Amino acid sequence: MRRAFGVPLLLALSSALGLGAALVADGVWDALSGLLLALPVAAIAWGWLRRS
Amino acid sequence: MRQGTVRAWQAVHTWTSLVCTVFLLLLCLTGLPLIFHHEIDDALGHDRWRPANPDGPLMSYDAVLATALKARPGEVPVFMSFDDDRPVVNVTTAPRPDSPGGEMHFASFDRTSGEEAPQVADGGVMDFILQLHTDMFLGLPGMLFLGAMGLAFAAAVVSGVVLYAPFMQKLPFGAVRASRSPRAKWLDLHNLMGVVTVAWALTVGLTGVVNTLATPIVDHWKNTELAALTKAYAGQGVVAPTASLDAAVATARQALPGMELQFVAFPGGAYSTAHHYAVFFHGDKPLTKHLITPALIDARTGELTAVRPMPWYANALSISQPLHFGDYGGLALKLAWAALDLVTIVVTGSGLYLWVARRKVRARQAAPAVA
Repeated sequence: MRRAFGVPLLLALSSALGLGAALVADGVWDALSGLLLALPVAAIAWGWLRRS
Repeated sequence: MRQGTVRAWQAVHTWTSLVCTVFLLLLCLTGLPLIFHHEIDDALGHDRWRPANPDGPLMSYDAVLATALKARPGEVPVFMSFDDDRPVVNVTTAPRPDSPGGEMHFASFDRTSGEEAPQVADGGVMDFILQLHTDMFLGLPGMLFLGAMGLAFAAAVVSGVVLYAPFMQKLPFGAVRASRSPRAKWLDLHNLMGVVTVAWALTVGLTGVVNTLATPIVDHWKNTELAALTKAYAGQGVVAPTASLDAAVATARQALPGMELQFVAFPGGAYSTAHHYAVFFHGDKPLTKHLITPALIDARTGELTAVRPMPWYANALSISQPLHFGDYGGLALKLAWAALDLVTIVVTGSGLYLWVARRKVRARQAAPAVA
């Protein structure tokens, strides 16, 4: 169970960070937010490209 | 997890998803262009306008108000708002202070000349899409219904997370069994896309639900906080605002230093009392600029009546807006938002496909018994 949720939990936390960062700060944090919220999309692309 | 428990959660996931599928697709499809509302408006000519006298003096708010009212004889002012990026004041007037939205007239004025500034060129299309998204043109019942769909969506996401473990325990993260069968491939994709977007989906979904409660929230604020602040004026009718608007704004600014003017609500309208200018400010920090605070100025004497921060539920509504729209972090965030929106569309569509495919399999399995 912990193994199954390892990466998903990490992505949830990084997403939450991304959602909050641009809300409480400006400038470079805006770009960081965009990057963090793009990670889930990257994970999906990675899974799709590696399909067996 | 025991098989009985898994089946129970499967039922929850299936039914909460099915209930909101069509509406979720509508919300995602209309939401997609709305993410880029500002860019689309600009592309359609909104920012080709320039003030008549860019270096000239700015008209006072009182002067702009007088100009606006002259153009709409017989009407009263309801709201005045202030553009951040151009010297334009927007005045909303109506036959009566409490006229419904449909009877309100909105006009923008160039503060350097008093001439009307153009409305957004193709407000038509984006306004149509926005209306479809917020209430499907059904007013408050439509909004509340979509709020219920948002709650169903949240339940679908949560039940999906619960089901992720039993379904994924034998597969490594990111595995997509494309060569086994279309059903297996789409199940794996559905699970992958769903589980990695949980935080974003729940945030956008639940802030969407809060946004559908805007009317009841504002009404509650009016009936409790606003009423408490102005008990002394109870029973008197709506006053014609005679105090100088500029002086009222200056008095309000003194009470709330360091904040930026957002809009003014005139006596008798939705966001004020019968006797006051409600001068709304927002903060000047990235977080506080989403939170508004009003100062109540007596509309006859120009004196400050009260300043009080908004209650928690009003702040929850204020914070739910940027977190839902995704427009608070520049283009990078908007692009990520759009990508996640598209992922949600695929998750929803694949979920529907998986349900249909499963029913077909079950029907085929049951068929031999029907002889």
